[in-house]
Amino acid sequence: MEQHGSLACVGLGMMLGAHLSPRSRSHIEQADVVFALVSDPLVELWLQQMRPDVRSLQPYYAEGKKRTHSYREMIEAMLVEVRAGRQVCSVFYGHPGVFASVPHRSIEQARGEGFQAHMEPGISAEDCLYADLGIDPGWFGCQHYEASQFMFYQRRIDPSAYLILWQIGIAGDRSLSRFATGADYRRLLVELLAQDYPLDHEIIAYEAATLPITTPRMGKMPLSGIVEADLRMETTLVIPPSRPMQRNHTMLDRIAALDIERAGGISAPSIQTNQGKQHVECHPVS
Amino acid sequence: MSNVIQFLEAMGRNPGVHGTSAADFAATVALLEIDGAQQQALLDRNPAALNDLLDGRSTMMFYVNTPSPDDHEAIPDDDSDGDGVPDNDEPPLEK
Repeated sequence: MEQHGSLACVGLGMMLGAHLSPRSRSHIEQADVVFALVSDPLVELWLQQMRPDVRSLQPYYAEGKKRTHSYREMIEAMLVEVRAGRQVCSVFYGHPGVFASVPHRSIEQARGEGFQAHMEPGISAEDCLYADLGIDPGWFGCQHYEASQFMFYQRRIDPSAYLILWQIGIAGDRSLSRFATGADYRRLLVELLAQDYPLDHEIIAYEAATLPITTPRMGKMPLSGIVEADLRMETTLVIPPSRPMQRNHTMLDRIAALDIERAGGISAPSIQTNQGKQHVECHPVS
Repeated sequence: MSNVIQFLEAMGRNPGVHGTSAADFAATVALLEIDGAQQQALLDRNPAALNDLLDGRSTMMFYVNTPSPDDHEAIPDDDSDGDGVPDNDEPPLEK
């Protein structure tokens, strides 16, 4: 049975005053209780001006404390208010659903307990990155990984596409309790990346602007340079393609054959898969 | 309400409202009813100085993600093997 309390996780966008959507602003203004996790102290002050009673989630963090513990406590703090029947709005910088497990988890939990919960998107650091760097992810494709996940798990990298690594400032932190790692960890990351990219391949350290009086960071450096570079909590690593895209001649030949068959009015072919052949219904592309 | 934050909000909403040149910006800042130190921090485009003057938080943490979606459940609270590492960190698709 759906209960009275509710949760809205809303995105604030990246830049103070610039990115907040009307719907998210309405949630902030009308909620009974507002929680906030933002990336810039002046942005937090802005939010405090909108809602003087806003509850910052900053106190849940502590050096040496597992972030998973902090996250659980944040979620519980929100859910306590929802269970009490209040309309709760949780504000997150950027987009609340992009590289942000707390909003997803809190919505999942609230719904699991029978409460109404939803997310309002925001302008993310990723969105700003495309605009500031003039990158279109559709040009060559774009892979995104959390930097530590990229190091912990075996991934198949495509060097003909963009590779973007998030949370680079804590790359390699297995304890989930550090605010920064450092050069030794990044040296391992460079070793890993060097399997697919030359060490002198130019990469970009990116940080979105959070205030209208500042500019984004777009620092270019060779791949090897990230070992000693100033990579912070807000830094994202952008690795442009190092190789041209390779045509898939086998697939192109099969598509060409299909085109010829269709032009001749021949019935749809079969698809060759690992599980054998399947008949496919063909429809004209409009 | 802080006039500085109001000014930043207006500037964020409409970057052209205060003109595009440094002189326009300086002229607008000069008209704000704020103290000299805040004016200078704005002219210097110095967020750290502004934050100090406005008593903002000195450090911000804003990681809200973990390397694996499983980490929320899989990491033992008491770190049973003592290495601070999740015992079960297999990605979901491989389970």
